Amino acid sequence: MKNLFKFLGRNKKSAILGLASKFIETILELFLPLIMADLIEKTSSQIEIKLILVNGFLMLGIILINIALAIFGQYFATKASTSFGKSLRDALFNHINKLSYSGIDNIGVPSLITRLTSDTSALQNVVFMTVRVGLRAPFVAIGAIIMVIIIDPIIAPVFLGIIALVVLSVILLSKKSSKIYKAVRKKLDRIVSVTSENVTGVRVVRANSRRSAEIERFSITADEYKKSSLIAARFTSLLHPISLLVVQTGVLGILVVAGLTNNPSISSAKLTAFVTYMMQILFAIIVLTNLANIFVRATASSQRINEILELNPSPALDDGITTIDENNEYAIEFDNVHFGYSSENVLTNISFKIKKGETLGILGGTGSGKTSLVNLIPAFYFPKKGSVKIFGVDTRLFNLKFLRSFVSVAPQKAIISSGTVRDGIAFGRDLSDATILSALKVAKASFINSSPEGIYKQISRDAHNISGGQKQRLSIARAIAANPKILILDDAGSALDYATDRALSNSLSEFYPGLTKVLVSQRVFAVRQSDVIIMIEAGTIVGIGTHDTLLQTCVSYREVYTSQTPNTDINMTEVVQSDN
Amino acid sequence: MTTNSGKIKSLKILFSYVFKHNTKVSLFSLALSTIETVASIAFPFLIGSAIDTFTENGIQSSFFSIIALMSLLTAVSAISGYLTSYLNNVVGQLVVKEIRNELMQKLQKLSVPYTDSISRGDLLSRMTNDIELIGDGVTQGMNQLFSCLITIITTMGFMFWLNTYVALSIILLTPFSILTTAIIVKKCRLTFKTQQENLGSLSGLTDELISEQKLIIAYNYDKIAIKRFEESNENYRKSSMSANFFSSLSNPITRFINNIAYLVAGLLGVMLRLSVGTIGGFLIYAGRFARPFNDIGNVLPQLQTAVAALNRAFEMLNAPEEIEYSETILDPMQITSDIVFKNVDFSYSKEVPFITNFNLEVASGKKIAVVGRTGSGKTTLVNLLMRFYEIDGGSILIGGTDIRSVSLDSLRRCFGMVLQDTWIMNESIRYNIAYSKPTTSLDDIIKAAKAAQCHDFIIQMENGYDTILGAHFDDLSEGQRQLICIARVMLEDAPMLILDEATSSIDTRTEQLVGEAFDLMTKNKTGIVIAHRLSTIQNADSILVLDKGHIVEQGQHLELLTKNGLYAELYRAQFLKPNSLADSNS
Repeated sequence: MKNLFKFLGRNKKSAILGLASKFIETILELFLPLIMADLIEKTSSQIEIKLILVNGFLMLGIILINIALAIFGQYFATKASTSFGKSLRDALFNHINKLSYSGIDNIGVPSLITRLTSDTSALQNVVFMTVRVGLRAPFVAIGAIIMVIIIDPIIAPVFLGIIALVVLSVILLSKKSSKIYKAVRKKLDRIVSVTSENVTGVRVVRANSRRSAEIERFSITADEYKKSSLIAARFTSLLHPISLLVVQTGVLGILVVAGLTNNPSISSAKLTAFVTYMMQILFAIIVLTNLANIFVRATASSQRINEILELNPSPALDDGITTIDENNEYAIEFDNVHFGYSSENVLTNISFKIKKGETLGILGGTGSGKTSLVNLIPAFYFPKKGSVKIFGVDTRLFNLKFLRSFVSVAPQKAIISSGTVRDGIAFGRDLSDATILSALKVAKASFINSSPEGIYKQISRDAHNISGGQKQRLSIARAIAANPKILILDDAGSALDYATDRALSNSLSEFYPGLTKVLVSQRVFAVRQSDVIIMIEAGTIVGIGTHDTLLQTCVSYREVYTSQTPNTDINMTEVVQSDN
Repeated sequence: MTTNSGKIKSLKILFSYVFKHNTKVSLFSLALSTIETVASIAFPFLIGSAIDTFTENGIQSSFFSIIALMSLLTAVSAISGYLTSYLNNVVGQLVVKEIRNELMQKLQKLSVPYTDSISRGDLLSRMTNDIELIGDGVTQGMNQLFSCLITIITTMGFMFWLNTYVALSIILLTPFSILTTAIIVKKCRLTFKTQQENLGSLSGLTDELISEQKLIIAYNYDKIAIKRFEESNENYRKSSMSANFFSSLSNPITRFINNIAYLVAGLLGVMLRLSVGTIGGFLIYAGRFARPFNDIGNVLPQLQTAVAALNRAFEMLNAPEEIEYSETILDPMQITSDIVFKNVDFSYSKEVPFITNFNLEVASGKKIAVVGRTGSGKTTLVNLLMRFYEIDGGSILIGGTDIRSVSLDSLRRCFGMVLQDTWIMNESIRYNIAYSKPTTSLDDIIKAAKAAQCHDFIIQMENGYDTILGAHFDDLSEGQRQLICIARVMLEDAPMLILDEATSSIDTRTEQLVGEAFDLMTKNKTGIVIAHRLSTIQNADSILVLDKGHIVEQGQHLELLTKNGLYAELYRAQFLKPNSLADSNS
């Protein structure tokens, strides 16, 4: 956790001012019981007005300075802690944006989100609570101990012994509590899990007549959570009573000892001061205990945040080659490529060459490796063995930002973020309205023009107000808007019907004649017209060629083709003839 | 936003959960709380007495009896303090458990149209996060409110016992305490609300951007993403600064008032020539005087939050339910499994008529393939048949019996249903497959799994059928999940089947397996199939072509093709693109 506190360092001035103010006001406040005890002692036999006034004003002065410093200190302490939170989140987000696909896969998107929101909050909370209450406590405790030693060096050791006892029991209790706390969280996860299943499975539960069974199943889960929480409560409830017990026994001990020894140097007034300091220490310890709990929870969070910060950023985002020779014979070359996300390979021995302006079709089922293959083209990943060359240049040599400016991807899941259609298509690039409209036209997404706001139409948060097919066409429009040289459509037309799909294909050929296209699909019809078709199974190429070639030479291709078309060609002929 | 009267009502409801439903424990806890508070307040009082006795008379039996009494009080404080804190947790947990169970029971009765209309995330949050807030509110409220009140009253009592004048002058400070607490609480409510809103925005933005992170990399959008994030982050920081600064003022102000009280007590005590012990006692009380007001001030926001959460829970409890018209049980084995739709009318909204005068007959054992574009009414048929949605007019009959004249559970037991979205539970594979009949033997489960083509991948898993399917579903591919859902329906063995064949996310090979499983499952059963596979359409006894809620064509494959109407058009699209017909929800 310590390394994260460097973010606090960016707000050094505030932190130091806050700390210093709190330190001074704590010390000041500690003098109050001392001055009061002195006053009481000196006036026990007779009243001296002058003494009362002087001490009175002195104490009043201290009290006023105290609150002024306290407010001042709180202001800077709060500033430091909230700025800490901001710096931490900014740094984390910046780092995440430097990560490569592998980096993101490492942690996973949902966990990245949780770490950026929930875990940073936990840390900010630690800093905030420490600053708000935690800084005083140790100063108070130390100060009180010093005061007592000054007042009476003989009683002091008893004092220290008592404090040590309390601190020890509190530490032991905290350790036990945090173990139990983990178990409670697990039970809570289970409750969330069962509840979530019932919320999403409303129809399924009823279709299976399992309503009462689910109520029962949930009731058991809820009961287990209750039991677990109460076991934890058994320990956490001990905290205050134990502290109270030990401290009050200590006070009694001091009283008895003072009484028995009949020590004249311990005046009753000083005894009163003792007790006051004792109470202050008690409160300070309680505060530190609560803080310790927050710390424990935050340790887990800081580990998770560090995991992100320790990931290596993507190499060469901004370094590397920034030009290409478009006259190079081949636009895309895979030379004996082997690739895997871990030690196992998901692609082996992939080799093919695609000329500029050609269309490459990649056919394969789920898990065949086709998405992994195309991810190598914009260098989201690099091959383990072999090379991927774009216009003759190995992807490892490119300035990646440059590479991705002319290799465009329309991914499988058409993610359209909220905002206007225009924002979604431009996606941060500096494009004119005319460019956007033209991209929409080519992508057969001119349906946008039918709404009054046109491209300024707002898309709702989960994109509810447009259909799946429309989303895909917008995604394709985005991919072509900046006039790429290579376009990758990764199953990007899965929600489109045949007619629209054909029209789109023709449109692309018409408006972007030099565009090299890579089409990925599970459906033969989608890749049928490609110049080169690759059939991929379990990470290897089982067939490469044109549709007709593959029908003749590749058994797997033939099988897939047959299963995706009707049995009798006679029917097909009949249909075609009735068109006339 | 609830009105003030609504908020007070909720507070009353909260109280009733605590005191009416858990009377004994609550009262016991309050009694112990009183004992603990009085005991711990009496202690400083006795310190004063002990010191005075010692000062005047030296060590005598009276001194030791005071010490003995103080020892007793310490023990009583500690024990009752422990018990009361534990019991408050018990009450909190009991209230939480009760509300939790109530909400789950209500969930099972909620009308499906209602659950379709609300955000799932919101519903889940009400049933989980909000409940936690209610529990915390109850426990902390019980810990603080009552004991603070007792503390204030008892402290005042003891102070008056010691010396009226000093006590009075300290009590004059009370209004200041209340005033400053009230101001801070009010200011805090506003600033915390703003902070929460900004946090919500930041979380929402974070969620949006990180979910698209791979896309951001692909399009070099990172600089803009960072700018947007930093802006939202800064807004949050500012509001967080206000909120936290104001809430952190309560401590210094409390200590200030304490210190003033301390000063007043000391000076007056000296001037009035009170005994050292008395002054000592006063100093201790005065030094803690403002604390209970501060603690109440701290717990009020927590209570406010708990009440708000309770309101949300009650909104759910007041939501519309499915209506049970009859308790007659329909035995799936006894009926002839034919389906009749007679003059059925239905609309999702009153202004836009959808299905009107719909008539359909499906004889027992026959299979109907339903095709049509998005929004043509295919899924609606399923909703109506299962009475997830109720028809507006006409009637639907199963084996001659009106579906409204039997209980909902028994009606639904007549159907096996495989939907587009798979649903897997965080339980063992066995449990998942035998969901409808938990007492099924492992042999029968394996039979169903084999028929559904999932046995092979199940036995390859580490614990086989006992493998617990995790909350993240990484362990199964989408295709495998679909097969398990099919196994579940096969085991259920209902006489009629409703299938949505949308399997766009499965690869060709698995799809073949799924197809074979479907075929086996639908043998000899009446089936309504939202068709996506060519073989289903070709082999169906009848094909229903829907458009905008109406049957536009009906018949067999060849005859429909030659008509060259909507079916032929869809068929041509289907021949080349089997999933074009369903665009997710319809």
